[in-house]
Amino acid sequence: MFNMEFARATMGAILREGLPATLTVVFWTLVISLPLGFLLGLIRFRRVPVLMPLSTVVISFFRGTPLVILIFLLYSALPDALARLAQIHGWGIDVYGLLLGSTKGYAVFICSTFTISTMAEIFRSALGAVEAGQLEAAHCVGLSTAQAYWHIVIPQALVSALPNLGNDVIGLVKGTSLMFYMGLKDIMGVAKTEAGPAYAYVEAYVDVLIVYVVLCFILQELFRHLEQRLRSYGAKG
Amino acid sequence: MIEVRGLRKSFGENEILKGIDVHVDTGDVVVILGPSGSGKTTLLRCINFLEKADDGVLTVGDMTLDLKSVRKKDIAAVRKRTGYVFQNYNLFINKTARENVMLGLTVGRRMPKDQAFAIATAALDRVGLSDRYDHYPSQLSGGQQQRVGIARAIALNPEVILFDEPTSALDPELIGEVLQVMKDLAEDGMTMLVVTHEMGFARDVASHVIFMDDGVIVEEGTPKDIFNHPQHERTRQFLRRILKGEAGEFGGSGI
Ligand SMILES: Nc1ncnc2c1ncn2[C@@H]1O[C@H](COP(=O)(O)OP(=O)(O)OP(=O)(O)O)[C@@H](O)[C@H]1O
Ligand SMILES: [Mg+2]
Repeated sequence: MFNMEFARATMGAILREGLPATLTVVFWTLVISLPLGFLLGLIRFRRVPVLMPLSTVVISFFRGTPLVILIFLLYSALPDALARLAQIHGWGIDVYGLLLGSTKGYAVFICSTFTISTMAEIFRSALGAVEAGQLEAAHCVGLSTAQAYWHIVIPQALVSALPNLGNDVIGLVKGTSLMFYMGLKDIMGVAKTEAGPAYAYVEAYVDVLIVYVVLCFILQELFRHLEQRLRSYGAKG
Repeated sequence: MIEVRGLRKSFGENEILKGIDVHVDTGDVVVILGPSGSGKTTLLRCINFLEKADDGVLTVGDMTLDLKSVRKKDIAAVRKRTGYVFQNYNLFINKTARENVMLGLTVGRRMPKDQAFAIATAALDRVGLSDRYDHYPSQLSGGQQQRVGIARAIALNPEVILFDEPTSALDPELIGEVLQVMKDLAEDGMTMLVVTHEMGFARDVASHVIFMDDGVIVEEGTPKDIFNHPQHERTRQFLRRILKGEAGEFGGSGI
């Protein structure tokens, strides 16, 4: 029935190869998405002309498209279309090699598209949650708007964004489990590769389940501690 | 010295301020009274550009500005000369009491940290908060928070401080400590423009009292004029209502 030996061996492979790949993709996605998502959120919060409606379209697209479809679009359709374009115009570029040369790199790109979009909305609403009186008081003591944002508004917004950011990161971690469609050897990818020949999917999926649950639990606790520490000033909200 | 002439402000179709003239001489305490919705907050906010006035002329010291066409530079200059104390304190919640007071000095005025630290400490001492330097606003009572708010304003050494109902968000037993600080400031010669419902403060501390209703100044004069010989029926009604409330609820603020 349940092949314990196989489950143990597969768990070993997942932890050796899959987990580092997942964490690498998540890490680089966050490195890219946190600052860009924040910038986009700020643009939306300040209602910057032109950029605001533009970002609405882009964000709606990436937030609204199911991840599987997004992977298909960006992994298959987009490179194909670009390759055709390159061929027609005789650019002589190896589109596939350029885009898909690094599976991890391309996975980071795909993950960043939707993570930036969701984070932009998180940061926008966190900025909106800072009381207007905080900015007014900063103006009254002689701070410029930029200074007030830097010292008062943004630090408060970051703290109040933390719970939602935590959820978003957990969503991202789980989202990467679909990247095996494009051949990424992440937690899911390794599990599937191992399970296929032995036809031991139940064992492999139980392994995957355990790894994701533990991983997400650790992340959840991490964010909880971070929030508690940063919120030491005791703000409500 | 600070003065506004012909101040007008509308929100959409609603004209809230219908040509207001206020003059505060150096060292004077001018108190503005008036029922809720009469435009008192809007008046103070227009003076400090938290709201953009539609019309009027503002004079602060040797500076005169047409409120229709102010530049960023003018706004900064006026704010440098005026302090503002909010009804709900608006302390920076992510900063300690002392950091609240220091921020305008270190960031706004680019003063060295140690110098700002000393000024902030002295300002907090002046409002009786020598044991609360490193507390966050959430760890302070309303009265203490408002005293930090006052310290934050005085640390910047303004020519005039605008107070918008500084005690109306406070529990009755905490009102006295804030009014005492304001009274001390007045005695030290601080120029103040104060919106308040504290009649005791108006009577004892004000050099001049203005009664506003529905966006206009109905009546003004010395506290004696206003409290003992009000000329207008609206003023009399307002005073009757307020004084009855004070006597009934908690017998005045105790100073
Ligand atoms: N931002 C705004 N937009 C629209 N209307 C406003 C705005 N701010 C104030 N008002 C209106 O202007 C009027 C005057 O408001 P204001 O706050 O100046 O009154 P107030 O005299 O300070 O009253 P209170 O004693 O209750 O504080 C009110 O009718 C209010 O609804
Ligand atoms: Mg008001």
